[in-house]
Amino acid sequence: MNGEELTEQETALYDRQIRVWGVDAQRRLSKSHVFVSGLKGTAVEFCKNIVLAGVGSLALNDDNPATGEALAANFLIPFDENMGGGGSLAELCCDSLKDFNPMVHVSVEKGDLSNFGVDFFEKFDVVVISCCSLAAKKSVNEKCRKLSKRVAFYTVDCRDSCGEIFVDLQNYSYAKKKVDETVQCQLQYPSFEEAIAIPWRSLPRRVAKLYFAMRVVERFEDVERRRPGETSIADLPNLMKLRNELCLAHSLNESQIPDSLLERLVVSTKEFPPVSAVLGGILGQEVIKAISGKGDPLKNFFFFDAVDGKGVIEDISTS
Amino acid sequence: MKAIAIYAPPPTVSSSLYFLDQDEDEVVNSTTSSSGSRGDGLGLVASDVVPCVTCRSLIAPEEKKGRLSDVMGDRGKYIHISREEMQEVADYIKHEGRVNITRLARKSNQFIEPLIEEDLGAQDEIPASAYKTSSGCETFLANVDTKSDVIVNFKGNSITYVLGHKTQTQTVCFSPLVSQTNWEEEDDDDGEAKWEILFGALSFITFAHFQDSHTFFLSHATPQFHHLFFRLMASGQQLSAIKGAKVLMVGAGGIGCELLKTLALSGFQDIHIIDMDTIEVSNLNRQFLFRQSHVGQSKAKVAREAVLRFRPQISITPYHANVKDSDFNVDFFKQFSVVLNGLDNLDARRHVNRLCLAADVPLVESGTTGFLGQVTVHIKGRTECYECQPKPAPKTYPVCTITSTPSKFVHCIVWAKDLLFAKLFGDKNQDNDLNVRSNDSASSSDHSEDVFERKKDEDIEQYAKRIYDHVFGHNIESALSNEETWKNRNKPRPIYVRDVLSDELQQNGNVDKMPATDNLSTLSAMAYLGLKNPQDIWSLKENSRIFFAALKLFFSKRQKEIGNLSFDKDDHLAVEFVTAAANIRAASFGIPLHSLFEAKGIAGNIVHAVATTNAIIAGLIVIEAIKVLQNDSKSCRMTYCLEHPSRKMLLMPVEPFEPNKACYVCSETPLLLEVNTHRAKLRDVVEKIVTSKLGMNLPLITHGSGLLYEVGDDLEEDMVANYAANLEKVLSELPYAITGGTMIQVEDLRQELVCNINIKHREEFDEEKEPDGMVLHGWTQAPAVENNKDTTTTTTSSNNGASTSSTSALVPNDMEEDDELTILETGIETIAAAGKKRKLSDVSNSETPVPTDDKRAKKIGEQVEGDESDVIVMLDGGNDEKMSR
Repeated sequence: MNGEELTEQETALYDRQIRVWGVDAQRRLSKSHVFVSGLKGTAVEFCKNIVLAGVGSLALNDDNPATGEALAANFLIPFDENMGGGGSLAELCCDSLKDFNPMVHVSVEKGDLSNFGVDFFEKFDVVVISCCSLAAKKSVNEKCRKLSKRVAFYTVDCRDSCGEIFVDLQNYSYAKKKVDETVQCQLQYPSFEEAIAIPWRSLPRRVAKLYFAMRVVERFEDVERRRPGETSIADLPNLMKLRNELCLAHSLNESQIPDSLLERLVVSTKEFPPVSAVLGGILGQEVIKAISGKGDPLKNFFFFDAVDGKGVIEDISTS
Repeated sequence: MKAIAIYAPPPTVSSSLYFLDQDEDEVVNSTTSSSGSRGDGLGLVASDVVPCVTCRSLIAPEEKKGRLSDVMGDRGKYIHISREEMQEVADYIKHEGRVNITRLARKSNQFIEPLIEEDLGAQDEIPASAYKTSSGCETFLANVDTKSDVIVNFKGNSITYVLGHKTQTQTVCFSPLVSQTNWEEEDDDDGEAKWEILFGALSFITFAHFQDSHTFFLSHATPQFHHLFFRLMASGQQLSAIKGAKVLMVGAGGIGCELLKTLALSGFQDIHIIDMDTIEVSNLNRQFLFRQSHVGQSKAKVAREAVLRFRPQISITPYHANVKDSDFNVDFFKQFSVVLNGLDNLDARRHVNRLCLAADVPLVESGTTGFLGQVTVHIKGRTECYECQPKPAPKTYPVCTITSTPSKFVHCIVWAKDLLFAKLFGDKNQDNDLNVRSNDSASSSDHSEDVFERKKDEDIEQYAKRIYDHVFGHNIESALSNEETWKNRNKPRPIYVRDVLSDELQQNGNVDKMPATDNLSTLSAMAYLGLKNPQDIWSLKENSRIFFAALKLFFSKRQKEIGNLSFDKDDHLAVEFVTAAANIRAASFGIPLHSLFEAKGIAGNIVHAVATTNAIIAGLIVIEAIKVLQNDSKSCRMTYCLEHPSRKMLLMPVEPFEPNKACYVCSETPLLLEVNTHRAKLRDVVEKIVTSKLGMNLPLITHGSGLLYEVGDDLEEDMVANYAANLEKVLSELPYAITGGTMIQVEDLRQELVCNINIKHREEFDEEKEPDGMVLHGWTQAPAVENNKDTTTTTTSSNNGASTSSTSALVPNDMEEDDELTILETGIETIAAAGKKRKLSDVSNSETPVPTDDKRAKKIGEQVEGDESDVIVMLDGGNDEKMSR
């Protein structure tokens, strides 16, 4: 046992989860600092989970005003405030989250994600970005990697009933419980940019189709300079064209990225609340694992599709 | 002015959507010309791709008249409908408010005189582009593939269409149900075109209404568009299925809070929620709808308030009650479209399962522990019911292990909790094995009967010391005298107060010095002794001090409760006492000591619980519930949430199993008994129904948890008298009243037969035709008991709240080692970490041949229990670690 002990209040509140991950993990959690940008339904689910788990602090970033659609999947914002407006999503969510667990310091970081420099991220142990452009994912990931301390980096996206989580823990070592002993494990993560640059044909067989489909959509939005999720059925022909080009370049059979899947991703970009709950839960669990250094962390992509019900881990790395 | 087109394919046509299917050749041609092979790419088969082909010549005349009303039915037959007929249809819809599309289609035949004009075949084909009719009309229906000037964007239930630089958004009702308001003119507030599309699975109606023009849109749709329509139809159905659903949630705890939130966000409008519990501090780490200030309040009610804060427009009905209450009978369950369980105990789960079966309401069942969780779907007749597979019996320990030869800490806990604590603070009349420890001499046994009684005017101090010395010293010593026992075991060490505390006791143990406190729930021996960290493992000395302090606090501050106490994991003082006693006993037997935190977990059967797993499981429940509501039971899955991936999967869907034909709960349709509950006596039912009709020799009749009647050799005298009295009572006046809408259970233990009988009250019976004065429906002959190796007998005796389940041997079939099986097994083993792995091939007892790829190795049982109030297999008293002799 190192560091201060948990207070009586903490012990009582966290009783059930301490039985899952132990006192040490709980202590580490309470000293961790988490940053979340992009507060749509899935990110909000995640925030709820880690505030309940008892992280030390949570910083929220989303300057968007709380309007209709943003509220649709947001259980943090009371209804009456829907009407009056005022306040950014981050500010409104902050108030509710504080209420969830008074022991967690919840704050708002104003500003555009792309303007945050390397130093900004040094304050955090975990950075989670949601609904971000390809460029933002790459750049924030790189900024986290430039720091001397390890900052765990995650992206999470939910479109319709599909979802994707990306994890970069850089060099990560953790304790793994074998039958009788605890062994130290080591994992090497690629950055987001590195991961998606891996030629598709060199990936293991039967990689989730969603991985490829998400890359096509991501590229499409990047090329067309759309905001994430700013697509419609009208984009489908162009998207399919892009799909064909990418498949050709990567020598991948087009059938690996079915039209129907692409269509789902561009037509309904709204987050399906049950899927948000699933993704927010998985991501919460991963972040808790990473902070506590306990349990096998996910490497390095997770996909969920409500249509087939599978929640799949894919290792997209060169190793 | 209205312009309406109805396409009514024959209701027998499966769910394929027909825009207009005039000519098979045309279909093929247009598919090819408009979009090449894309239809295939979309995953549609040719029969799905039935592009919209229509005839300008058919529409043009109608257009000229300023209206258009056509019915296309019977695979391309053109049917003209008069305006009056159309009006009748519209009036009918208006009158009904909401009308199922299938019904509407059927009804339409009454309104419409079909005038089939064979000659009006395909003459002219609309080009593959958006079809614009008259000027001033902004029609839509873009062809996304051919660069039409209209771009339509469907999003949620709104449609945006871009015409040139002008963007317009409209709300559309995608629903097989026509809601009345959508037909009101005044909805058209912005003066823009208003239209609706109503879909049904078997037929669909397109209703178009443009305010100031007479237009009808109908386009040659491309496969993409066609596919989109399929999707819209699907999402429309989904939306209406959600909006029209009335959902019952049982449990507002860990899973319940997450579930209620996700249901509300997903658009559910009418949610009922039952939970008997009140909020506790240890709930707050995951039951996020609750706050510190809510501690002590009803979970169901507080959860409702919390969700209404962000979704005030929906209806949530809370019940702060036990789901086993008679109010929640079959009739109550029947009003719901689906039942969602977030329960914590086997008993309630079984109860809900049976009611769902009786009411024929689908059930989505769930449970979590730590990072593990599962969601299963139970639809009567289609999938197995919750009880189709035997559930593991609560863990039991032999009495002698507990009383004489403990080898694990849990044995000490059971001893401290179920024997010592119960003896000292519980019901004095209850049997207690505390002194049945060995082949002890008779004298010592007799003597010990009085040891636990506090003598008159006996000092608490003295009493506590006496108890301590007796249970930890004297009893061990007399056990040691039986040398046979210790031949192959480590001998325990007797512990006496004088050895541990010497004279310290005299100084600290004065009750008078204890702080006066009004709040009995915060009484703590730890706090009194200055011990703070529940994670610390106390020494024998510290445990002994806690033992004395706790005992004395009970006798000085909570004297009134003594004699009525039963162990409760939330009773801090009780946990302290049990921890200390268990540790002292452990020390005596050379078993490692444990912290209060750990001891509490063992004693209270506390299930590990985290918010994340509950959130995931709740999401999965909603996904399954929506499938159920759309009658898409084929897509339903059992899903397992794993801690370690199996075949790359963290969330593993498995096809649900077919009902177990031998399942005593769901294999037989519950019977229905029509009876005058105010006149018929229990004796009548036993003689006329149970004995003669059901052929039961040793019937046991229960109602809810109450035992009404039983026949057997080994019954206590008072029970026999009780049953005899019951026989003469009128049904509605029994201790557990049998009234209309209730369900009784009749079982014959010897035959292993259980029948559920729904009771329907009926005032009068025909003396000639119904001489019994009651009528049993659904009964033909005494059902033969299926002799199946998987048959399970579960006996529930309600007098002490404990139940024991005995499971006959499950004989695993030889399993084929194919990939599927191996991997499934891994997952199951993972999930079964804490439970018993069950090997059971459902192939073995399935009479229909199961295709190879459908072969599933085994059934995942009840390894994962719910998180709710944190008791893993909570039987009535919460004492699931029972001893068996």
